[in-house]
Amino acid sequence: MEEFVGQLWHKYITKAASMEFPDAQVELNDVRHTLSVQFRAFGGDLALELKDSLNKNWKGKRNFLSRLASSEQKLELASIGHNNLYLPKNMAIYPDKELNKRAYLWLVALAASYQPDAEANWLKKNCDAVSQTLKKFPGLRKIYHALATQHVKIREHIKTLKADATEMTIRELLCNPESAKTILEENPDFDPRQAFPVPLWCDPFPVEAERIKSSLKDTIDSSDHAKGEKGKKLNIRKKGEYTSDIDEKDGLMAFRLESIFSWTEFIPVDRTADEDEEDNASMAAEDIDKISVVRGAETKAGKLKFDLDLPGSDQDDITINEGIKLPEWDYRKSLLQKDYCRLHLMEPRRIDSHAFSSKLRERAKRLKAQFEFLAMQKQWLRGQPDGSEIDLERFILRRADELNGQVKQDDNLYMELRQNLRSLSCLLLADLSLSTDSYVSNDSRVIDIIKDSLYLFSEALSATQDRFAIGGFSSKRRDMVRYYPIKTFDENQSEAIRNKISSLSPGYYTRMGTAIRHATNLLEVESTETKLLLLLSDGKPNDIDLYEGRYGIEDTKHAVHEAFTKGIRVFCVTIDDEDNNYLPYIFGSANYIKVKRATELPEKLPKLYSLLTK
Amino acid sequence: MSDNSLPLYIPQSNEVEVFETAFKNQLPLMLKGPTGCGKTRFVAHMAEKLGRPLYTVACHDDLTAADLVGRYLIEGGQTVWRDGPLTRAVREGGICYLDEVVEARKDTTVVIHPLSDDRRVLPIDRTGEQLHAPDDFMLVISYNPGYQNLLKGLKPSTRQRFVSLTFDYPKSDIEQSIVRKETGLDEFTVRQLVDLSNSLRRLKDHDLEESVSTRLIVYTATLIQAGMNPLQACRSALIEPLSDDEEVVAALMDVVNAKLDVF
Ligand SMILES: Nc1ncnc2c1ncn2[C@@H]1O[C@H](COP(=O)(O)OP(=O)(O)OP(=O)(O)O)[C@@H](O)[C@H]1O
Ligand SMILES: [Mg+2]
Repeated sequence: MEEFVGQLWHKYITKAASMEFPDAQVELNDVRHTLSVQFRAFGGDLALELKDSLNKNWKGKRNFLSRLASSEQKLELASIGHNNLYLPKNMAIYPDKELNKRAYLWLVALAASYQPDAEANWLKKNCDAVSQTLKKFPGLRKIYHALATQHVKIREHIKTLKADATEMTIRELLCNPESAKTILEENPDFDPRQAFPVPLWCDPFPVEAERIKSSLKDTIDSSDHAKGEKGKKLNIRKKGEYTSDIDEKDGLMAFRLESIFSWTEFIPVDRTADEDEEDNASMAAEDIDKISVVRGAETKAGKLKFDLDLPGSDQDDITINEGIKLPEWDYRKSLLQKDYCRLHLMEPRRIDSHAFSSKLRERAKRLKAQFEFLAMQKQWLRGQPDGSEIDLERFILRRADELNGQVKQDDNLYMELRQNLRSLSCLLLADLSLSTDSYVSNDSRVIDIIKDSLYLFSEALSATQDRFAIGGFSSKRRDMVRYYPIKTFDENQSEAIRNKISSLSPGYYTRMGTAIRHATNLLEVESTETKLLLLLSDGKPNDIDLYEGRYGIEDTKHAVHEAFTKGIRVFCVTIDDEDNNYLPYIFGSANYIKVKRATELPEKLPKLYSLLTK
Repeated sequence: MSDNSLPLYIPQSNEVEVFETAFKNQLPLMLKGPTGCGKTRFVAHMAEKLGRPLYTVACHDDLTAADLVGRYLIEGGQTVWRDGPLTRAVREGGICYLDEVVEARKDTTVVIHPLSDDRRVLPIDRTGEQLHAPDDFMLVISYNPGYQNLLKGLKPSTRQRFVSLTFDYPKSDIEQSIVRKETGLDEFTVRQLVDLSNSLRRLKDHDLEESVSTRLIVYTATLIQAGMNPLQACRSALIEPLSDDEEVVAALMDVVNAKLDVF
């Protein structure tokens, strides 16, 4: 092994001073699932999602580093934010693939016991986490020592890396994590943040990572529509560099982003019980509005539909009722805030007669026939007065009775195949937020596919005995959660309902918890034995105020739990190809599926339904 | 009490007193809790402790009322009545334990209704008998609440006939002593196993549908005690039973490796 390292090392040194071994690289994407499972198994926060860490410039010796590498020094470290665990997008710090894999394993184990904190405490926290991890998982000691000694060797070979006092202390810490405490006490001024980074430690500037990442995320979210129009994915990395490179030339934007994201991201730590949360919320939201305009203006792809301001009342959909108050869960306070949200019942302003394609109508017909067949699926009923088969068990009992001298006249000795009479109510709840406006193929948007699915689903279900309803939702802040009662439980499928489905248009955000609570209330009064809430969404709970990231996820999880305690099963179908770790957290692992290609949804949904309700 | 013939049971909290009090006052009992947390063991222990015979029925969706109550069989042209386990327990004044009662058909659970309220009777339609349960008869049912059983949960009219006790996997120190007593494995390894299992339990509903049960830890410890390589034992008895997803199994085995220090 060592010889091997040595050989490769020479190659590497002569090439450039980049600390990477591309031949032995492990991609995060290939091990993402594995690592997220491991992170949780090592004790990491269940609510965190595993994301790529950002490419950014090391705050420390920038000049030094640019001298060090031929091109710009790329740096990705592990860190923990309020909503995410960040890991380098690829791992190539060792010349051996196995070691690179283990470096990832080490990082998730470390991150699981790392408590993110103010920068000042970073080193101590990091060293504590190292020794705690090694203590809790003694099997990691060998792995860690292999990683640390190899890494130190590599550092020793970087010619331009001066072995000054700081560097020597870093090496000592790496090799003797057990004596970290003494080492740190002996070097009170030691600050490795000015030195060459240590990829086996957590990022000393995690807050920054979080801030950049989320401003980045927002940039990307709003460019989603552009993505559709251009038909290809945005290069996230590029965007990241762009955002983090912002300097004087785009001062306004940098400043804005900063202020917003300090708002959304820092609420969880600093502002637990702020009284003026309300004011700040609307202030920040206003900022977001402004920014989207700025951003929209400079997006190349042009037309960004970012109608964050409500349209005039003569254009907006019709409000039927705006008085439904619903609670919301604040995980930071562990409090269900009564009457916190207001739900408006809405109806599309214009209902045009539907124009589902003939192909789709054909499919609906076939599906309906299938469902009729399913509904007719039969079951053997025992003890019938008449039937196609003899009920042997009854017959034996009856013979026994006769032999005993008891003669009874109710001879229900037959079995009969009969239709399965189940009693079930299902509410299909569709996400109509603006994100569904993005394109998934050349000619269809998510919303089109949702509409097609609603159409097929309602046609299919109308062939069964099951009671079903359809609703759609979107939101703009807590006082305007919009719910479209497309079909109530008591309505029959009709042309009017088809028209309503086809007239739906996307708008605003996704306050999922509130919508689930409303749907729960509708299902609760149903008197059927089984109740199912089927949620159709393309992404995460989010809204323009603090309903974002963990807050939104926790509220939705809570709403799902409330439904559960009322005897309602919630099942979620998402159209998404991202690895969304929050789904099992919200719904439980048996209660969601991801549809990778949205175009499969129309077919899949009715089939899924028949599986779920079997 | 230090009766050696008692099946070993280490209480998690006050369940022994609750059981005894329910028994003395002729109240039926419902045990809720995840699989392999000691419900069956607890009932066996209590039956022995109270000196009552125990009739256990593992419920399944084909279980009929006759399977519980009894039926006439035809033997050589003669008919013979055979008591079912429930009837036997009522006649003898024993404990009848219906395990995983939600699995039984809904009409089956109705049979236990008159037995589990203050009438305490078991009508046997076939023979026209009406049995009155003696004071030392007790009905105990168990079920495993959770998402999986949601669609076939217990009817409120059944559920509300029972005093209920909720079980969970025991606290770490209790679980360690259970595993040690059950298997005789050394203290250090047992602590590692229980720690590891508690980490894995956090994955329920995320990456795994089920938690590591006390039963699985006991199995793993048994294998190790019998000389099996601990990693192999963990793979076979702790990880593989939890998931069929190879990727998840491999991921968790790395964590097992990290925990056990036996590379
Ligand atoms: N408190 C305990 N004292 C002693 N042994 C226990 C205890 N709890 C669990 N065990 C051990 O765990 C094993 C499984 O317990 P048991 O069979 O009682 O589980 P259960 O709750 O009935 O599971 P299921 O729901 O799957 O039937 C027992 O065989 C025993 O070894
Ligand atoms: Mg059992």
